[in-house]
Amino acid sequence: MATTPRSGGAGSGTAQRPNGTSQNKSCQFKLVLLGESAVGKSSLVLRFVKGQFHEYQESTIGAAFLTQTICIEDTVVKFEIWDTAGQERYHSLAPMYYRGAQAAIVVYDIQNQDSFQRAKTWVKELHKQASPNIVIALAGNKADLSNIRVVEFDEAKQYAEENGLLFMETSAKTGMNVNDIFLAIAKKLPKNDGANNQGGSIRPNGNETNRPTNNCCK
Amino acid sequence: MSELKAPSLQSLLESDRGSTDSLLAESLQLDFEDLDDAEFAIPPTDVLPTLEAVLSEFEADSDVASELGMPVPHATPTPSIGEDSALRGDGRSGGGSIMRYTLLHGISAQLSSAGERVNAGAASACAVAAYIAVGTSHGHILNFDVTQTLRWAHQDKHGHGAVSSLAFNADSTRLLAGYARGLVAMLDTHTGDVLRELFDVITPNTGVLHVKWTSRSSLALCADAGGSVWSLSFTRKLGIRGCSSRCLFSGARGEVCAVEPLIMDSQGRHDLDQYCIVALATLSKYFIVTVRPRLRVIKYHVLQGPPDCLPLLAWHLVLIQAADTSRSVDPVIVVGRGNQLFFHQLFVSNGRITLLYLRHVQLHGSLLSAHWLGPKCVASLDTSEILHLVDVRSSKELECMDMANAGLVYGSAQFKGLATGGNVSPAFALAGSNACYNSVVSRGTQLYVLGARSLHIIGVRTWSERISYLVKHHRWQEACQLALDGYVASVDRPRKRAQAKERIIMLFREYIANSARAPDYCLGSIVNCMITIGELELLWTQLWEKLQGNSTELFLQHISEHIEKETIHSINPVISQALVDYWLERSPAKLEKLILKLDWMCLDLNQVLKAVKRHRLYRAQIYLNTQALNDYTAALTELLPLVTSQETDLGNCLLVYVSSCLAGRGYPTGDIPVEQVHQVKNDVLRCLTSQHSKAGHEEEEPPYPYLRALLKFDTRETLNVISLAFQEREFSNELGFSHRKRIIYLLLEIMTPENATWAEIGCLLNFIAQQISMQCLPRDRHLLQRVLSHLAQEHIDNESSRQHSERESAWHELLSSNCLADISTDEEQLALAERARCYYVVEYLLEKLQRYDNILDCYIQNESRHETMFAYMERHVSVPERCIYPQLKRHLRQLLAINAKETTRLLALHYPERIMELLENLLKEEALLFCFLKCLNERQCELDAEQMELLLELFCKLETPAAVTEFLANNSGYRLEQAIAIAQRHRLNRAVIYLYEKQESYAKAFELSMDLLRDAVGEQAVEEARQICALLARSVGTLPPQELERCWFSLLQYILPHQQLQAITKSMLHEASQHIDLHNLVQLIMNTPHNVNSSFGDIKDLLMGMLDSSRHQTEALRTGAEVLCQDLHMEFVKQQRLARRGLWITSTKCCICRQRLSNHTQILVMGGCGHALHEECLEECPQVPVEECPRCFAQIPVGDDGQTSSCLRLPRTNRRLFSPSSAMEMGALQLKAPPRRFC
Repeated sequence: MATTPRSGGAGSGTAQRPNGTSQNKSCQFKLVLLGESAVGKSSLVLRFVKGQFHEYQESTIGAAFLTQTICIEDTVVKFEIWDTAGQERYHSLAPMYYRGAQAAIVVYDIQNQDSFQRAKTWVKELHKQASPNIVIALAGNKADLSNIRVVEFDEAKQYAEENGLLFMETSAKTGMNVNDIFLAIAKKLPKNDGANNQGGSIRPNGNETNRPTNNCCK
Repeated sequence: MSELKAPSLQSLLESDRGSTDSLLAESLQLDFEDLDDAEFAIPPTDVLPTLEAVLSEFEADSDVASELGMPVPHATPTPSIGEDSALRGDGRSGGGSIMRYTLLHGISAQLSSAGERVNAGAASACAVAAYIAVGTSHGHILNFDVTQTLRWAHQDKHGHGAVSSLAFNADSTRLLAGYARGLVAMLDTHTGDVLRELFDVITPNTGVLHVKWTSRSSLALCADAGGSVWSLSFTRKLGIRGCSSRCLFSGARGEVCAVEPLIMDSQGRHDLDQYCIVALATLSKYFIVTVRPRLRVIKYHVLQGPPDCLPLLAWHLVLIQAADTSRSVDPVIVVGRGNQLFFHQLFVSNGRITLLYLRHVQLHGSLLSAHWLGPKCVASLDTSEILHLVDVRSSKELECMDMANAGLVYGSAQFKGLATGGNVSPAFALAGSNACYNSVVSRGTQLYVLGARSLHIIGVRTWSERISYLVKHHRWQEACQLALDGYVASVDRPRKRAQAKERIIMLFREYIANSARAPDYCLGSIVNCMITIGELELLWTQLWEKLQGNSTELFLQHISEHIEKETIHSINPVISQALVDYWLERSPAKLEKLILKLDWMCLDLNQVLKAVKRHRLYRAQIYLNTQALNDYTAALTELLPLVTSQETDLGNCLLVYVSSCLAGRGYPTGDIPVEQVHQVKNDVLRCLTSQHSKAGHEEEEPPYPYLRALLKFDTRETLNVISLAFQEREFSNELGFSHRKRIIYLLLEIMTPENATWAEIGCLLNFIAQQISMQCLPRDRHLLQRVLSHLAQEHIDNESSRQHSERESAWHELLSSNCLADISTDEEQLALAERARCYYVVEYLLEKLQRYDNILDCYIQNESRHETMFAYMERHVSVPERCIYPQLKRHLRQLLAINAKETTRLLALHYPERIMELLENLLKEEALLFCFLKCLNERQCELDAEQMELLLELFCKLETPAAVTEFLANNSGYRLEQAIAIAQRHRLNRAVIYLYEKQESYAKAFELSMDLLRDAVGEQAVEEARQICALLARSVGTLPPQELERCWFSLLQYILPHQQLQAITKSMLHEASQHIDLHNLVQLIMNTPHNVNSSFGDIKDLLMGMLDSSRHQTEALRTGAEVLCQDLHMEFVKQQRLARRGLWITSTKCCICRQRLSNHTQILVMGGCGHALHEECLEECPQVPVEECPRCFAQIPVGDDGQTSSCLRLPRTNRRLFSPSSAMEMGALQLKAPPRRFC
């Protein structure tokens, strides 16, 4: 634990510092990306983590793992991102990943109504199965192609509000809203909770859905 | 000051009876915690060191301490851990980390300046409590507080010499000082004022050796150089300080060298508190006495040791765990003398104070001092000034330290009484040369060593401190090891374990903070540490981040090792990504092993699956596909198309995989979850038998690509896998049978002659035949015909014997399960089988049809059945319809060729009367006949003479001459004349000679041999000559002497002239000399003209030989006579000894008439049993045999020469030897000698 307090944060907003050296407070969160195949989950993460975009992104097998650290106010937030595969055959894997996660981004393709419906079922599943405190964000990807959109912004927005989700339309290709959605999640996540620091944050299986409260009572 | 001068009434009242309220007992609870064994192993680490403590330690270790840290009462040493490391030992026990040395610079500087400026002299004694007091040789006392500041100095104005002893009372308010000329002074520690000066409390004109406070606040003890001990009770009546002294022990009755009062701060919690207990030691004994309530010796022990060594005493409260698991805290005294340390426990039992011996420790050198440092260690200084730290429980030395540089002060001057004119005993003076009672003192876990101008502290580090010490010196490896030892030792004690864990985590943070320059230094130890305590998260985050960029490789290697050892199963995904990348570069094979051992949850599946596909790590791929993706068919669809005949590894791997899937087993280990088993089996089977591959090039590829690939890879093993799978439950119901059928048809469809070899198809058909015969397949006429047509093929190219026998056995199984009855008759089958040379099948069919007359043919044709053939004949030999004999007769030749021995056995056993007939049958074929006859002969059948001669004839024809001779020698059933005739006919001279000899016509044998000799040359001739020689030697009894002599002569006459036989001439002559007249022999030699140069030498040797043998015989005769005499003598001696042996009887009554034996009659003692009887009584009852005792019927052994043995002979002789007078003696029972038994 850092014992030498240093006043002043590296900054707000979009400032990112990969693998920040000695920071004030540090939190670690497990984040999972869900959504139908080919909606751009991997591209979204790639844009966030490496700032890159590939026109022909290979389809993910199983799940991919990436990390990114961002600074928000005086806290270093480290995201451990599990980018799950969207193909139907990997669906059964998803619970393994979202059970222990503190945050989830459900992605759909604004040109594809089916993907939006699929996103809705994902949200439903998360509400039912994942940790009750999970922060869920809904991302309408491929916003650069908004001229041929099928899913209306307002429709999605309304759905998000109804279900208490963060919502943004993003574009991995242009980078629009990509960092913002992650930042928004980071802000919404509880950071002062001691249990969330380092130790208790990632566990492979999410059996501890009830545990944080127990810890507090102790 | 004023308080002291104007005491309260309360204190006045209490001072006399020794109040205890003044005892501060500053660290009572803590001391008791010290004693807790469990607390001990792991020191309290919940108190993090303050900055000050850290700084003071830093300074102490770097020898710049100007400040004496407060003695930390709860700083406990950790011998149990020290002990562990010492046992693990190999010399680096603790590595100097246990003892901490500090020089007190402030005090040392003051001592030096006092010596220089005020002429205080060198330091001579010290005492340590809340203050540190140092006395000097010129009577000065300097008092320092814990910050090493000089509080006051006091100078003795009375000229009483050096300060010999100092003592603080329990609350450090009073200091008692003893001087070399007998003064005892009491000072106020706060101000330095002298409160009492006592000039006359000890033996006049002696110096003070010890002053000690006891457990009573107003009672002190003082020992003087005269060896007496005085008790000083301080009084304060009406404000006037007084002191009354009493002599406890007078030096006249043993001089006391050491005094050690027991001081316990237990505030009445211990039974011993009511007593005031003191340990005293003289040069020969030590005592434990109670001074209050009354003077009484509890116990004394003898204490031996070298004369120049003083006894040493030290008390400490120790937690003692008794054998019955009861625990108690009791004072333990250590008594030292020489190189021995004895430990005794003092406790109260049943109201009595008892001293119990605990243990004994032997050290190497003689000891100067022994002090407890905490309840588990004893520090002892030896005469070479090396300090040894000894763990009491294990008696092991933990560490030692050379103190020679300290300039230790000795108190010898006081012991020698130099200040009082040397009025001490010589023994005392000698022992006192090594006295340092007052210059080495201990407090808590610290030992203070006084030098002439300096003061030193030796402390014992706790476990935690030791880790810190090692850390400070960057000895990470040792630190980690020590930390882990502590952690492991704390098992069963959760609180301690948690503390140890915290300490290790602290160690880890220290490592992180300190290893900036070389982050990979001792990385393995630290990783091991963290993994052992289970704090993996720190490894993944802090350490990993620390290592970023330079030494991640080493870290990954360490982690890999742990994964392989299976100490960790799951790692952080960040690490796993790096790990996969790292091993992909270096050794994909290793990566595969690691993946198989890791929990798939921590892997980046996208990365790993792509990597394993790229590097063809099939096992890992299958593992991940099944475990993570729960997809049991992907492995098949992806990997099967890759299988070629070269890729044996992949192929076999897949076969195993398919097999284990179909059997419900996980791959590579474990089981498939029960609820999935059925699904998995179905999936795998469906995938295998799918008509088209997933890729779906329906036009190009042949149907059933997966099964086809497997079959192509290894038909036999694939079929094995399928047949194993068929044994599963799924295939044994109605649906299962149809599955089977479908699979079989699939197989047949795939394995067409166009794309499979006949061998492979053969495998398949055999497999099908097996399946049909096991009733596993419905009987399909078409299928059966197809199978049968394969089985009955006349000729298959390149058919190995294994394949053939498989074909046979498949057919056989079909037949025996009666599957072929529908499509053809047995007769047809028989014809087919004969054509296909499937003799096993033929045999089976013949057996079935009961056509026994040709069954042997099948056996003979079928090589693998030869063994069983004989068993078959044996079994059925008595069944006439089996026609064994006719078949035997018909196939006799083959049978003999196959196994003549077995055949002969059979014939000789069951058809002995037919042998003649068979022999005649064979007459033409000599080889077989010979074989047969030989076997018959070996079976020791009674062959008649003619047969023997026939056999001999054959032997002569077919075997070597040596074998013939051997045969002749071993057998006797032949007639000699005929045999000779046969042998002669075959010119087997050797055999003829043998036969002649057998016939006892030695002359003929000799003649023939001579002929041979004449023909032979060189070595052969020598050999011949030897044989003739032996022959002649054998003929001695038979041949008349003249004839023998003539033979010898003719032999010698031939041998002597021959140069080539010279080598054996001498032995020949020697041999001959036994049989022929020597005179003639010499004559013969002289007359042999051709042997000129050697003749004299030979004769000389001969003559010498004759003389030698004569001498030898004379000698032998003499020795023989001597031995005989000796034997006689020995026998005589033996007899004499027996005759003189005493007799032993068990009762003085006759065992027949029950009268006393001593009634002037002859007595008979019956040997070993000790029973005796009157001779008359024995004669009166003649039914008792002499060989046994009439009472107990013990056999009296009888010698082999018919006489009774020596044991019995004795009683017999006694019959004569026992005169009435000796019987008298017996009657008086004057048998003084101890009873002896016979035999």
